[in-house]
Parts: sequence; C-alpha cells; structure tokens
Amino acid sequence: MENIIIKKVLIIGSGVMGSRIACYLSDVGLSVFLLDIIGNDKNRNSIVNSNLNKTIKSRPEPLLDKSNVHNITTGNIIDDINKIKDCDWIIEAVSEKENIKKEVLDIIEKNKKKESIVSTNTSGLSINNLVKGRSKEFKENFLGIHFFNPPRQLRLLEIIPNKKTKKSIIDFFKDYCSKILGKEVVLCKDTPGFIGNRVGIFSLMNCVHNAIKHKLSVGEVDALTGKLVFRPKSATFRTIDIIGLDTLKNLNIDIVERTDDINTKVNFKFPEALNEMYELGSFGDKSGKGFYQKRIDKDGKRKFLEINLKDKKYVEAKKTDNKKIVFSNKDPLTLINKNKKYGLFYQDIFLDLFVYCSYMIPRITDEIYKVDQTMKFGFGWVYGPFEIWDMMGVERVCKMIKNEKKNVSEWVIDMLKRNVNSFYGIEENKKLFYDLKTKKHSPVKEDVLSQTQTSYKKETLSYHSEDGIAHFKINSNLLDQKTLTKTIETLHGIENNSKGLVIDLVSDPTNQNTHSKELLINIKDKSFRKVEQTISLQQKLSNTIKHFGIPAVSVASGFVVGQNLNLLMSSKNSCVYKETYMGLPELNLGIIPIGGSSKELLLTIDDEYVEGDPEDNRLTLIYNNFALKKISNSAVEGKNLRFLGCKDNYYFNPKLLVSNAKEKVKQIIETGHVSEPNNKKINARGRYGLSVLYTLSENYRQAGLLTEHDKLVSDSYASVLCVGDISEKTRVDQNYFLEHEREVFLSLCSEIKTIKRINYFLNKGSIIRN
Amino acid sequence: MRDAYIISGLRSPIGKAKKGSFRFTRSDDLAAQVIQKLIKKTKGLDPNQVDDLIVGNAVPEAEQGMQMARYISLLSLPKEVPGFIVNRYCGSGLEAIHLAISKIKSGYADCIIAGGTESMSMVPFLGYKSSPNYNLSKKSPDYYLNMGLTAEKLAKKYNISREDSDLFSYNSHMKALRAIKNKKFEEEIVPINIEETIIVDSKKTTRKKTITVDEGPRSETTLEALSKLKPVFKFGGQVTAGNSSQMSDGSAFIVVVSENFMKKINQSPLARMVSYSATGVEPNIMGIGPAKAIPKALTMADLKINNIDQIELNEAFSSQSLSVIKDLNLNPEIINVNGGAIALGHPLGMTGAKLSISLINELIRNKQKYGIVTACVGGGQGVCGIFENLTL
Repeated sequence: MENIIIKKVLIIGSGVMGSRIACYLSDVGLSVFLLDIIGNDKNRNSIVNSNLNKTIKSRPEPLLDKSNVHNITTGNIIDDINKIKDCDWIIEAVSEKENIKKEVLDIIEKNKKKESIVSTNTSGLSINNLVKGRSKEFKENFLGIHFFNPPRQLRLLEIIPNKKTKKSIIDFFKDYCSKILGKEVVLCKDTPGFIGNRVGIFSLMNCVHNAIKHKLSVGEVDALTGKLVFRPKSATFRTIDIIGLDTLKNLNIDIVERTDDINTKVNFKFPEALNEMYELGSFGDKSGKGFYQKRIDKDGKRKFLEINLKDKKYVEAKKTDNKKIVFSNKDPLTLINKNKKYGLFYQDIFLDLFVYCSYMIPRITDEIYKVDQTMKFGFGWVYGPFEIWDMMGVERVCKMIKNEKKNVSEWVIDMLKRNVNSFYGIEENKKLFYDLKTKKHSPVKEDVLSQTQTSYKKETLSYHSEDGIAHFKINSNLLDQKTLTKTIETLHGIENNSKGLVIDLVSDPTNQNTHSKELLINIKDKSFRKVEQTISLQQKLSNTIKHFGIPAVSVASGFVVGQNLNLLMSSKNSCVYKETYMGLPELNLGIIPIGGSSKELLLTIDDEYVEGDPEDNRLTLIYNNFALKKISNSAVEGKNLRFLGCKDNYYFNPKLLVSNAKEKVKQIIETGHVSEPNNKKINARGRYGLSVLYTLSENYRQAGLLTEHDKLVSDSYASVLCVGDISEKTRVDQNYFLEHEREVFLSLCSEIKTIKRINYFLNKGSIIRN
Repeated sequence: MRDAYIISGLRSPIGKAKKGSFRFTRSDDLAAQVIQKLIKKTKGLDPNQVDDLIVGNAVPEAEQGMQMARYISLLSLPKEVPGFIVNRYCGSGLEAIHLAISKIKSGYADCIIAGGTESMSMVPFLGYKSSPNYNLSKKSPDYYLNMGLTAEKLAKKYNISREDSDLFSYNSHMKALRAIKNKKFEEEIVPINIEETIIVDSKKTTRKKTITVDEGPRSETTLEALSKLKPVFKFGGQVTAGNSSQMSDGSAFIVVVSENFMKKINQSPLARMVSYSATGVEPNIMGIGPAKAIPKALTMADLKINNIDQIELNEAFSSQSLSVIKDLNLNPEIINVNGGAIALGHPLGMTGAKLSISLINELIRNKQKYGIVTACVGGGQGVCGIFENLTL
C-alpha cells in the first residue's frame, strides 16, 4: 500500500475560512498555495492578497508565527491553476453556493494529478451531491473536511466521506488531522449541518425563539446563556454577531431545505425580528452592527449598545445581576427549579435541547458522544448536551419533559427501561457511552476521549507510574513551604525508584498567580526569614528537576508563569501545547521572578554567544520580557523570547503531550542519561549590562511604560541579570547567582510600594500600579 | 587672520533610509561620487592640490568605520590627499565645514574639501553596541534619553500643541514640493548613478539607475492624515512619525580655499563663514540647542537677528523646531523656505553640509547677504554657522 504524503496544499477561496485554513496549515509547516478569482487587470491577485492581509491582521491572531506567512503563496485561478499539479491536497473553500462549488470542483477535476486528494470545507451542503456525476476516481479521493472558525482556536474538525471515499483516505485523514493538525476529529454522516452546526445552531436559534417567547432582552439572554451555564462568554446573540446573520440565514435555509425533520424546520426558521434585522443589513461584526453595536458618542466615549428586538432601536446594554441566579454544581436542576424570574426560560432551552438531541440519534450520528464532542470543541461548551442531561438526572428530566407534554425519542425511554440511568459511565478508568446498537454501555474509542476537567487536587502529591516512568501532576505556583519541601522529597523518591519522570505542570486558566498566598502574606508582614525560606525552596525545587538523576521531561499548556515556568525551563526538555503562554508578570506585584527562570534565560543566551557578538542585544531581549510584561502568544513566540530552547517541542494536539513526553523519556533512557552538572558558570555582565538596562528603564519610564516604582523593580531585575555592579568581566558560579537573586528579592520586600501592591492584591485580588 | 572662501558645493539627492534608492549604497561610495563631480564642477581645481578631506559622519562604525574618510579620499581623489572623520552627531557636517575654514584661516592649508555623508539604511543610528557610562546611568540616566522623548519634553515646556506640530510638518512638505517643482535644487544636486546586482524571478541581473530627486517630500500629505498618526515615543504624547525628521541617506561637500589659492585658479567666492558657535544644553531637552547657539554666534559676528535674511534650522522634530522659534521669537517666514528635514530627510552627518549649500544658494538667488545654518545635537548641544553671501 502506498503512503499518502502531504507536502503541498492548494486552497481555492481566500475568504474568511480559506485564508485562515491557509494560515493554519502554514503554521503546521506545509507549503500552501492560496488562490482566488482574478482581481483586476492591473493587479490580478488583488483579491487574494487583500483577503490574506486582512486575515493576518485580524484578531484573534490566526498565525502562531507571523513569519510562517512565507509558506503561503498567493495566486489566481487563471494564471496559477497549473500549480495544482504539484499539490497533494486540494481544499475547496469558496462561498456556500452549490453551483459555485461545483464549478470550482470542475476546474479541480480537470487539472489535478491523479493521486491528489480533494476536500471541501462546506458547512452544510451535501458531500454526496457535490460529486454527483463525477468520475469514480474523483469520488474515491473526495471527502468533506470541515474546519470551524476560527481554526487556530476551535479544535473541532468534522470529516464527512461520500459513499465512495476510499477507506484508506478516511483513515489517513483521521490520523493526520488528529496528530499533525491537532484537531479533535469527528467522523460524520452526510446529513444537513453534519453534527456541530446541526446541534449548535439549533441551540442558538432555540435561545433566540425563547428569548422572544419569554420577552427577555438580548443582554439578559447572553448573561444567562454564557459562562454561567458553562458556555463561552459570547453566549447566544454575541455569537450570532460573530458568525454573521447572513451566514446564519444561508446555513439555516440550506439545512431546512434538505431535511424532513419537523423539529429542525421549526427551530431553524428565522423569527420576524431576525428577518427584519437581515433586511436592514444588520449582520453583526462584519457590517458594524448586529445585536450589539459599538458607538462613540459626542464626548468621545465608547458605548456598547444592544438592540431592542421589538423596535430594532439600539439602547445602552443593561447589566444583568448574575449573582442573583441560583445554580448549584451538585444539582444543576436548581437553575430551573429555584429561579423565579428565569426558571421557565432555562426549562425551555434545556428541555428543548435535550428533546432535539434525542431525535438527532441515530439521524445525524450513531454515537451520542459525538454530539457532546462537537459542542465542546466547535462551540466552546464545557459540557455537551448529553453530559448536562446526565448531570441533571436523565430520569428526572424525562419526567419534566413528559409534564410539559413534549416527547423524547423512544430510545431514551427504552434505555431507562433497561435500567441504564445515565448516558455515560466509567469502568476501570475508561469512559463508557450508551450504545444504541448494543443497548448498553460500551467504551468510547481511545481517540475520542472526552475532555472533562482532569481531576487535580493540589493537596495530594501523588503520581502514578507506567513502565517505570512516573507521571507527576503539579501546580507548583501555589505551594506553601511545607508542600514545597514535600514535593522535593517526593521527587527524590521518584529519582530513586523510577526510570524516568514526566512532570505535568498544571495551571489554572483563570488564575495567573505567580506565588502562594503564604509567601505574599509573609512579605506583607515583613517576615523576611520565612520569605527567604520559601524562595530558597523554590530555587531548590527547580534545581532538583534541573539536575535530576533520571530523565525528566515536562509538559505544559496555557498560561505558564511563576514556579511552573521555573520548572518548565529547568527541565530544559519539554512537550508543550502550541497554545502555551509564558511570561514574567511579577512586576505587577512589585517583585521579581525568582526560582530559576532568570538563571535559565541567562544560560540560554550565553549558549548563543559567539566571540565578537555585542552582548547587549540578547540581554535587552530577556530583560524586556520582564520590564514590558511580555507574555508569549504561542509556543513559537516562547522560543523567540528564550523561554523555550532547542529541546523543547510544541505540538498541535494537547492530548498527545503526555504520551509524547513519555516517548521522549523512553528515548533518553534508551540512549543513556547524564545529569546536568551544576558547574556551568554564568556570565556576569556587571556594570556593562547595568548601564544599558538602567538607561533603558529610564527611557521606558519617561515614555509612560513604567511607573517610578516599576523602574525601581526593573532595575532590581537588571541587577539579577547582570549579577550586581561588578566592574570586571567575569563568570560566577550558580550558587553565587542564586544567593544574589535572593538578596535582591528580599531587598524589594522591604520597599513600601511593593508591600502596598501585595496588600492590595491580597485584599482585592487585583493589581495597582503605584 | 586671512580669510577662507567657499567656492563651490554639491550634494547627492536625499534618499529614504531602508526603503529608498540608496538603501544598498555605501555612504563612502555616495561621498566619492559627489566629490568627483565637485572637482569637475570647480573649474581650475587640480585634485592633486587638495590638502585634506574632512568628512562629517554620525555613526563611524561598520560600513562607516575604519576611519572611512581616508577610504573616501582613496575612492575619489589622488592617493596623496588624506582624510579624517569628524563626529558631532547631527552637527558633524557643519563642524567639518567650520574646521576646514579654521585650518585655512589659520594658514595650515590652502584647499580643503569638507562636508558630510551618512547611510542610515546601512548603519543603525545608535550603532551596534550600546554601552552607556555606568555612573551616568545610575545618577543621570536621562542624559541618554531618546531623541523623541526630548522633543516631547520641549513640546510640554513650550506649550506646543499637536496641531501646531502637524501644521509645521505639513508646511515643510509643501515648501519642499514647491521648491522641487520650481527646480530650486537642480543646481546643487549631483545625479547619482547606482548599479545594482539583484535577483529578479530567480535570475541574477544588473540594473542601472540615476537618482536626481530628493525622495522624502510627499505630495499626498494632508493635515488630516498627519493628525491620525499615533505618537511613537510616549503614551499620550504628540511626536509621531509624521512630525519627526525622516531617516535618510545622503552626501554633501563644499570646496574651501584661501584667497591666494582662489586667485591662482581664477575662481570667485560664493560665501564665507562669518562666525560659528557650539554650545551645550541639558541633554534631556537637546532640541533647544540652536536657541543657545544662535545668540552666541550672532554676538561673535557682531550681528543682530534682524540682520539675518535666511535661516536653515534643522527640523529634528516639529515640536523641537517650534520651541526654538518660540524661544528666540524668530520670524517663521525666513526659516526653511524650501522645506526642511521633516520633508526632505535628515542623513545625520550630511545635514550640516547640505543645509549650508542650500542656504548659500538661496541667499545668492535672492541677492540676500546673511544666513544662518543651525542644528540641535543629541546629548545636548547646539551648533550655529553664520554665512555671508559674497556674490553681491
């Protein structure tokens, strides 16, 4: 059997999706040709170039690494269609109009090489219909590969084969899109809206209908259907503004036309209010106004307005008091039962959702977990519909549904009759789902593990081992002295008993705290000895990993700051998610980073040094990470900022981090591990470095980037990086460096303004820049 | 003391740094072309008789290092003509001219070519290695304040509004465009020949171009567009890319001779330097330099400001120039009548020499007597040269 190898991709259609897919694939490392129709005679590529430029400048940023834009070559479908002969994968991403798509597929079919694979990014048209009448060979090499918008941030990818698609191609893309593209891959039936949009848009439209029914305002509904119920902040109406009312309308029309399901036809129909908005051209973000509108009034103040669904006038958005809504994690039904004002609204949107989803099985998919998967990875929900139904109690909810004179699909009743009371279960650490075919719980396939919150308790220092490799999960940012000491002991235990270590750095996405409460209280109380003890332990913990006797590889994703960053950098070997944001935000609290990051940054730039290099460039680079509070916007930028080095690898699929880390550990065990010696000396730039950084901080202060106290703290950081005001050019040993780092940290702890900042943070949980 | 006479002067067009026509042209090659043309233009001048070459340059390192004046003289003059670099940052060009005049006046030479050259495309204006004085960085770090922030300080001190600065900038462009349209610079500009070996469509090709026009001035400049630019040096500040001098590449030289030499080669004088001053000011408001240098030079020349017919005040920043004008209550009508550095550009080492050539030509055209060339200098200095038109 021949290998399928993808080196070059051709994308036709440079609109919102086409250009973003181009960016995504160029980040992966593929050569991308992006084509569109001819612009004008003077500049035949004007359309594709302006579309791509617009995308690159858009937010959220589509490119991991801006220089990857050079992997994209633009062109038009007349002058550059011959490039298709070189391409292994061709993506059709033109507008959602069947005739236009078919025309493009004609061009592709005529010009492509035999073996190349063609996919369509359609969000709702029938894959089988698009290839009707085409050759057998074309059909075998054609499938739907549906990216969600924006592709860098939403991991869902739906694969929809047509009846003739070769199994080898389906299998290839399932693997490729998961491993290389890092996507959450869901294999779908060729039904209208596939799975994600079929359920996601149902939910949006249903919330809109119920908003009108219960006479709630746009802002109210968004407050009710956002973070409060574990959906993204954009909730309902803001999400529609982002998608675009015109896009939504076209999608809805397509889906309604192609289905015979009454529920779908009723719910996907645009209510009068939305039709009126559509006629007025209020499509959302793309037209500057939708359900919301940003306006700048006469005084130059920014106002955020929302539309009144009745008279279509824009009024100032009212704030809904979330705290008044009763919701208990332990009994989610309290949403419906305990809320006078909004209980009925919640009852409608949840019951309607459950009923609808029940009827979608097996219509759009045989596996219920795919519904939850698509909602989580395509619409940003924390829990999918069947998961929520489980949380509320399947039987209880079914009773409520019956009381409301609605009906769930037969299979749910049947499931309950068989004494299966939940859609999901767990057996021997494996997740199970209710399989309609076997009518009992079956294991969810390995590659579609659901993303429930990984249970991590910071009090436990337990780890589990497999094949002699310990997997140790830790959020080291918030450890008090006692736990720091215990952690070091535990690590030494692992060093003695295991063959290797994967240190899994867990961070709380809502909490970028760099230090434990204990340390901050000690600083506030001027308990200098206790502070010194803690920071010494932090340095010791980092060094334990750095000089570990067995191979140690760290794993990280999301925000990595404070001691977690110290450990990541000390391991010098890691597997991180491409979306890893590293930084040194300690300036906010009026203190400096401590424990290992500064040492590792200096050692990294020392390694790069070539005789004759001016030294201030790299010194300034790492200093700016702190003074300008840079947080890398990706793992790639993390490398540029020197937080990551040559043995640190980033991956597109966050689920593979631990297994990849274990592989790395195994490789090192195989080839042999030598502990990092601690005799490497650190280049002390002394006054030569300080003179550069002191004048730089003064310029920053006068430019308004640093306050007076920020400058003082930044100058202290400069002192750490330059190892004090030495006047000779020399190198110091690491212990001297660490001692100096502690001294500087402690001196800052006696600064009144620093104590003030820390006190404010402890009381209010936010920052003051005094 | 005997006198020294300026008998000719030429300059290259000013190219935009990084993006303009001279971005791959070394400043020594540029200088060599100007000097060769200057020799040809100055009838009767035998290059073997040039005593020295004085080259102003603000960042004498890398492509401008190794005492490049010697290499410029090797490129453009007989081997026997030596050369040296003079650095007073933005005042280097004027300082070079002043040194030439001083040497000739004091009898140490008869014929000197002096001026300045700079490639801001090739050499970063802070150089490649930053190494401030440690003690100063601790006690007075604002001695190293960046130029834009000094302009912000002056704007605050002299109450210069953003609108004032943008208008000043707009006028600089309009005056320069008018001057170019009226061919005012044709006499002083040397067409520069560039030969480039480049890669086009994966093929190596050589192409030749001749540059004849200053690249800085923008006809599409509008007050509205200027007002939309964001401040680049300070949060909530007023100094933008539009109201700061442009970074540029260029070269300018003059021939200075003694009276005997001039008579021997049958030449007549264009101008002489009446007086010259250099003064120091607070580094963090370096832009005010000319406000201190001008009075000092006037006193030395025994002249009053009313005697001055034309002023070339280097436009480092709009707010800086406006501060000087306000401080001395200068008449804006006689300042930079053909546009300034905001429109035309500011190739650091060239500027003093370029302003001198342009000033002298304008005095001659208008049959006016006295003119001033003045500039602020980073680190807190001001320089001022007063010239007298001798063609009247």
